[in-house]
Amino acid sequence: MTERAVSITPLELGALTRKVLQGYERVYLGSEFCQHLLPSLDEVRELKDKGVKELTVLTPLLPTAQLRSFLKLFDRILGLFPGAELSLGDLGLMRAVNRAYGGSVPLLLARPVSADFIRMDERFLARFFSENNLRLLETDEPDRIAAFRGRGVKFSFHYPFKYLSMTRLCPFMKGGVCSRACAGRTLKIQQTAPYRGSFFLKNNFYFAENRGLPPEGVARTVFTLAAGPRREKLLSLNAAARKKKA
Amino acid sequence: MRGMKLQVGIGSLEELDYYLGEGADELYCGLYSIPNHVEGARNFSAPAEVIAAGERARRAGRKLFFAANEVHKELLGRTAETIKELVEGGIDGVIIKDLALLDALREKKVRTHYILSTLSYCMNAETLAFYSGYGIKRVALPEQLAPAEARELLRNPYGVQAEVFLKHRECCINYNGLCFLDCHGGLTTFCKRPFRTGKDEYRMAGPGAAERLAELYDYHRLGVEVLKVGRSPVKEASRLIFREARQIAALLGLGLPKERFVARALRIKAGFDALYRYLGKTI
Repeated sequence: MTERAVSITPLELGALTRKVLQGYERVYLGSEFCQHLLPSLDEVRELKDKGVKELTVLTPLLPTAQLRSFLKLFDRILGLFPGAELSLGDLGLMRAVNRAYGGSVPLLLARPVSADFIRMDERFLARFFSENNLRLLETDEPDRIAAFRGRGVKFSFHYPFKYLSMTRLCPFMKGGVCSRACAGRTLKIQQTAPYRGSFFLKNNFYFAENRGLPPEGVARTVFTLAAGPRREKLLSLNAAARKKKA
Repeated sequence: MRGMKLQVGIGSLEELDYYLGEGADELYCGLYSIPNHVEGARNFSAPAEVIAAGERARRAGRKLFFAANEVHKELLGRTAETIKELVEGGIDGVIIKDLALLDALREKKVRTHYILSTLSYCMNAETLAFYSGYGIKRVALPEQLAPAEARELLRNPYGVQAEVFLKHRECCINYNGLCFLDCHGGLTTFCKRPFRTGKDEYRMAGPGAAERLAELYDYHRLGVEVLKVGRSPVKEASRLIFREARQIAALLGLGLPKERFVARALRIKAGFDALYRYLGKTI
């Protein structure tokens, strides 16, 4: 059975209504790309107040001071959600959490760092996951899941945003200060001649669209709410139509 | 005050001789048959050639490292065997990104000077501790990490040293090891192109040279000893960057206050800008 989850940054908490929540078993909160979009305790509490039962906190690469500060915050998040998962974009955070909690916190390997791991030797990867208390590898690459020949590693599939790149020089920041001006904004970026094509900017990361439905056999699907709650339904309808035609 | 050691990437014995003559302290190279992260760079053709280059560097009192800083599971066994052969042949160390490869080399008991690639994103002291468990002796600092953020990492208790790129010349705007933008093609990279968002022009922002040089100054003060010059697709460009790096490394050795260092380094940079422009027109 595939678990259904929805992913939001703290900026989108308002869009997470009880009606939206009905369709999902788990909520991802935070960002695997931006250190300024980690949730505050109040934001996690807001999630609890909205009736969320299962929480996964998304985390990006973190410099030392931010890592230490997040560890303190996460300890308090565990007070609100004792079974909270942590999706890690940083191997140092993996080490620190495993040392602090002795393997009791379920860990996932987040994008984009997971992109390297899904390309690694499968036997090593299975052992690495087992040794480091990692439960799922988070990816948006269906072809990589299909090509994965090993056992011992389960996947969660993120869609419809397919990661392309990320920056610490965020275009929404002014004078090096983040005021979360990226809230609610997704820019369509078009290439100029002689190049063709377009992609998108959201927060501090660039992405393309995963147009298909999640591949079969994944343990979890994670839909990005910012794509619009209706988007998921449209994708399913399109996929069903394609299947029928085939 | 000492300047910084200079490390430079090479793709042939001819380049090795050139940089030995120009005073490079460390050199590194790749093999065409082993994945390594560089756009359009020249590599060596066979392990014997790399071993010969290592011997030549050693006779000159310098070091040669081998770059195997990509992840490729189909080539894991071959890569590990090749590194074993090169280490037995006397090369001084290996630049690595793939954890599975580090693990395989540990199993094979291949002991050498392991350098963690900048592409592995060692952003904090905990990550450094994690990788030191895999035998890493030096870390190439992520281009996106600021000196103030690296302070604790650099004072690590494991004896792991650090190196940095000459970032005002060689630095990706985005996280380069985690980038899937289609970055093919010589001197123009994807992220430096002009784009449009509706009617507006959009450019991916990068920091200014003064900021980068100030960072270099701080890294030097924090004890980073090695300044690294990567492998450019155009060998003449690499030579220019190396010469610029050499002048800036020497300037660091003068122990100037930061503002004076940056001002003088910017003058060096301006001189080289003209040479890069000339190079751009002639190739």
